[in-house]
Amino acid sequence: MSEQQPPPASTASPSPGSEPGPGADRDAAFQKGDVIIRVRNIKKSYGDREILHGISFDVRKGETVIIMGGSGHGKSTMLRLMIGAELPDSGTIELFGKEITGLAEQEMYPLKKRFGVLFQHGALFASMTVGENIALPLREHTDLDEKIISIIVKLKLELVGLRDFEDLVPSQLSGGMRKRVGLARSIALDPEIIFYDEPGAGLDPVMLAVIDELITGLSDKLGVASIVVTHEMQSAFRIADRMLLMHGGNILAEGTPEEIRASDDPVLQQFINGKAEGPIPLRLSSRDFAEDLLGG
Amino acid sequence: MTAALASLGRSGLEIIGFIVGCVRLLGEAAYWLLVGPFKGYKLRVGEILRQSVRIGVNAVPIVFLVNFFVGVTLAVTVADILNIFGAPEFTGAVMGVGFWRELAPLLTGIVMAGFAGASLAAELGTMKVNEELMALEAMALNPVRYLCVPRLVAILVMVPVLTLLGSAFGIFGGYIVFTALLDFSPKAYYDKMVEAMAYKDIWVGCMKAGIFGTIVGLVGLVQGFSVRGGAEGVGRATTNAVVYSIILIIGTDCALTIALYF
Repeated sequence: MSEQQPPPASTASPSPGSEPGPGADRDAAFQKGDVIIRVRNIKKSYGDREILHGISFDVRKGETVIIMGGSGHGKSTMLRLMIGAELPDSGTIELFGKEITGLAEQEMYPLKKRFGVLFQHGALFASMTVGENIALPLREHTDLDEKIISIIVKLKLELVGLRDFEDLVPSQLSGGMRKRVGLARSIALDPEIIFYDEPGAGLDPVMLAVIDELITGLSDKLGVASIVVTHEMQSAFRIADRMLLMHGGNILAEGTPEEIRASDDPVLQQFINGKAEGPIPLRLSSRDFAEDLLGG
Repeated sequence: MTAALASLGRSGLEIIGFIVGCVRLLGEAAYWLLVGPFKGYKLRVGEILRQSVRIGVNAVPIVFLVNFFVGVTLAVTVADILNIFGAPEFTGAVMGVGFWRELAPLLTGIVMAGFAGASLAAELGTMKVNEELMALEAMALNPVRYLCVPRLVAILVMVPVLTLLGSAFGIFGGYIVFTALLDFSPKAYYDKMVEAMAYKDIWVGCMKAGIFGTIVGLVGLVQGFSVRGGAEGVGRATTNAVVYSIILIIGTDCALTIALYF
């Protein structure tokens, strides 16, 4: 994989004095294939435990990148770092050609309006109806008329197949439906990047296929870049342009679905084929079992 | 021994962290309330009204009950003693000054710690557990601006209003005892009350109520933000919100009463 290229001219950072207010516009036009997320040498520890040991990768416009890996191997942490919810200990993350680590909160807002996040359980606001949830980013960040907002809400709900559910509240929906509403909300502002945290968990196979189609559709038609953290291997191979396997805080393998399938790395094979036997340790304890039992 | 010391140190750090959190939240809320609107971040006026109903209007029945019952209790006690000295009409004076200035703010503050503080902590805590707070931030919406400011403004306005109502309820309780139970004249009650009171009593009461409201709001929100680890964490934060608020309210009241009395 080619890495460490200098950023193309078109991704140059916007002038630092640009107004960070709510109306800030998209400042750099990205062409298909331009690097839209650049992650370099990211390290992150919680307490004494280093979770990420120097992660580097790129995501290009229009690309669907799958991040796979066992639980506790740093996928979700990496996601939280990319959306600016946490800060790395060292390393850099660029979104839309702009360095986000160390950016003040209000300087981050124009960037946040350009990406959407689908959280693991949808993260819908329990006090609002489905329609209000989707309208929220539109009401807060645009000057659109209420009539237009209502049309956009219906359009987004139709995309996820839940147009009739506009007036329900999240507690009346199933887990899978909440997720679909969450997806509708995350695309309300027509983002250029969408982050998905385990979009498949809790969905039935048919719905999973629908969501997969939606992800590929957004990427093919609108050039949305998708970063998908997932365990669902079947779905991952269906939608991926590129796949990363995170293991023990490093990127163990990176490539197209074909390359990943053809790889003879035992860890990779164990993971994508879902085998219990293999090099990935089942047991996370460092002490000897017998010693532990007998109180040695 | 070391374990006990360590646990003591941990609680100490926790309390310092909590106080720092309250001060920081107050500062951030003041920024979004006073500076934010001029930078294009709208104040959520509709939400302030909605929260005022939720925090204030809905609390009227319980504020009524608590102040009324304490009013009745106090009037019975005081009238009995004052009767020994042949001056039962001074009950009105005690009830007036006592409620406007001391009892109504304190009682209302404590009631609100349970009524509003607990619900704020539980609400924010649940939102944190459900990743709703992270979702807000990912949507470029600041949780302090979006959630805390409307709630704090609502509670800051509503607790003094409830306190004024509470005073009236308490004094009404005393009036019932004085006239119906002890069969004294209503006029004596009213006259002695007006005679004994100064305007200072009312504004001191309102000021205290505002401070107690701010305490309840800040403590509830900070506890909600600090929730970790699911339902158990929400429960702990809710308990802490009520306990810390009540202790802070009674402590502050004690200090203010002494400081403002002379």
